[in-house]
Amino acid sequence: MVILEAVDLHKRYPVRGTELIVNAVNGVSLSLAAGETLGIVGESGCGKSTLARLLVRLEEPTSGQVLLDGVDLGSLSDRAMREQRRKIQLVFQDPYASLNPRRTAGQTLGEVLAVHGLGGDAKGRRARVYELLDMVGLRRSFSERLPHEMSGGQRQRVGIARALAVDPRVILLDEPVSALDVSVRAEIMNLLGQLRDDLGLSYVFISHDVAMVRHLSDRVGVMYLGRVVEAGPWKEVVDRPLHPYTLALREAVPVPDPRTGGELQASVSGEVPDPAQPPSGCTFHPRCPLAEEACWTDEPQLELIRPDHHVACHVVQREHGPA
Amino acid sequence: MTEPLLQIEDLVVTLGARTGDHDIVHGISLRVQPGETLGVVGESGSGKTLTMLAVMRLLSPPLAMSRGSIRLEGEDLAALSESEMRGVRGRKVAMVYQDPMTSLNPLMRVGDQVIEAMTAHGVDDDEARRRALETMARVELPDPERTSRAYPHELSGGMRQRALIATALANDPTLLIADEPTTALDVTIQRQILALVKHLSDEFHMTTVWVTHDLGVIARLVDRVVVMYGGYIVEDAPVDQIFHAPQHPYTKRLLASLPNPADDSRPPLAQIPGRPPLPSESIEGCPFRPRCQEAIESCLTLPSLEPRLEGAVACWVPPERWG
Repeated sequence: MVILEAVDLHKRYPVRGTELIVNAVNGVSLSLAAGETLGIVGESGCGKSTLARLLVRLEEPTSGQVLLDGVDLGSLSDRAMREQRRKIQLVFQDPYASLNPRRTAGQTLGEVLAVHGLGGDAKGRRARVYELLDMVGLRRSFSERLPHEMSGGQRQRVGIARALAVDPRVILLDEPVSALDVSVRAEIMNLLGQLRDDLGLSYVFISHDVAMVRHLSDRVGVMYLGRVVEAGPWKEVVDRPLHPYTLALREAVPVPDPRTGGELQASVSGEVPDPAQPPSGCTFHPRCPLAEEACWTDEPQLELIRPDHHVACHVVQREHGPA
Repeated sequence: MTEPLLQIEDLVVTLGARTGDHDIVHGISLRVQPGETLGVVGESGSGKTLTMLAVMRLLSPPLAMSRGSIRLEGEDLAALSESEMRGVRGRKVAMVYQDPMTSLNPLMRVGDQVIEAMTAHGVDDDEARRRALETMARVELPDPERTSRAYPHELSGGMRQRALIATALANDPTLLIADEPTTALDVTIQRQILALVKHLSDEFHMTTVWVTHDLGVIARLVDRVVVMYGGYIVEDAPVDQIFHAPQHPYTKRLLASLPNPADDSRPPLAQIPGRPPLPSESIEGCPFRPRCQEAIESCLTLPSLEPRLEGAVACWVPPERWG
């Protein structure tokens, strides 16, 4: 059953002081099944964080639709929207920036419950706060702590508890472990996996970290300059990538083993171009080792290459053909 | 045995200069041989960055080096006057930091900053101007002439990091300290920078120390790894041994917390229970003891770094107990 669907989402921003337009999200469609984790991987400027904001309706798309449980979020009245919005929650990269520095964990969670009329009276809310803290592995006494009295991992646990407070169906995780130390990352990744399984949650897991996306996702989409360039089952996309950009991304992932690989080399040259002045044709062509004439002029569309595995690349489409 | 290029003996770094002062680095000793590439690994609060700042003599109050000695090419750095130290800094030993935006001068063109790095050490203007362009080409900044006229904010993160590396390399330092230089960068750019610095240090026989929290990043970069925890060196060994036969339980746990890119079953990541000690805490015996699953009674006494296999380890527990 599909719980979240995006249809041809576009988000354009004017660049201040210029005539330029940035296509931050440029025609992205995706669907998320109940209980599934969709990994979205890409680097700075690929549009993954804008996509997250569109999916939770923190921003309005320029065009396209977001359907939650089959309901178009754009068609709803404010009140219905608030009800519906509860079902989808966002967890941010930097829990420090997203928590009010003057509110204790208990106040932060209690406030979310009160705003949504959840948990009953003050006593009921307190019981629910303790329950939420317990779900994310924090002791009750934690409800008295202020953000600066918590470690990075503890703050992220509170951020997750806040998302869970409204009983969501879908959680959007925007780089949830990127700001954390290596050993703390492991804890949070394990917690996310366990909550998904226990509560039947669906995740959109947005990250630049291919290793973490591989670890948690059922399906993976790779974004480059506002578009999805490759999408499919995690094993296909991460371990048998076809798009040259996914290959470069995969190759750049540090492997914790000195015995692997030969000389350390750059996996791709150049940097992501200015999204306000994207290259013609396939936007990856200036950095692509496979680029040929068509890539300079024609923008490739996502096509089915292997079962459930879509790739937007002229060369791959020619050499591997449709499935 | 040749004389070490860098020799740190019994270094103590203290926070605060009054009663109740806390030691953050607890008497560590470390040698770096000429031409060697060393990785210093540790999480937040391990003391890795403070150790390197002590080498640069850049600790500022309330932090201070309260004991020990640091010798560079046999010269005791503590004995130098501040002006003599300025002659060493940048010329003999240079440091590249995580965030180039805070270490480059935002009001100065990047070319001028590379030039200034040289004129500060007595290179005349014309010579510095010529060599600056060479250095910028060497770090693969595109169109050095044009890039040299750019201000830091006009460059991408990767370009800024290259510019910072150019200022560090301007005087052909004998020792380069790279402190998390790629943490803030995208993975493909991270790989480009790692490959670049490795290539340059090989080509110019520059001794390099990589400081990082991420073991994966240095696996293919370094000859030897020093693992720091809670202000102590807990293990010091050749890179292959660190990854394939770690001798300290912390090293072993840290490695296990990384997702294995070859494991399709994607088991939960190994966690390290508890959290690293705060500088204000004093732990009896081994600093890792409260989190160590192997701890025995002897661990209530502080272990010293003792030779084992090809390296050294500070741990009382015989490896056959936790193998």
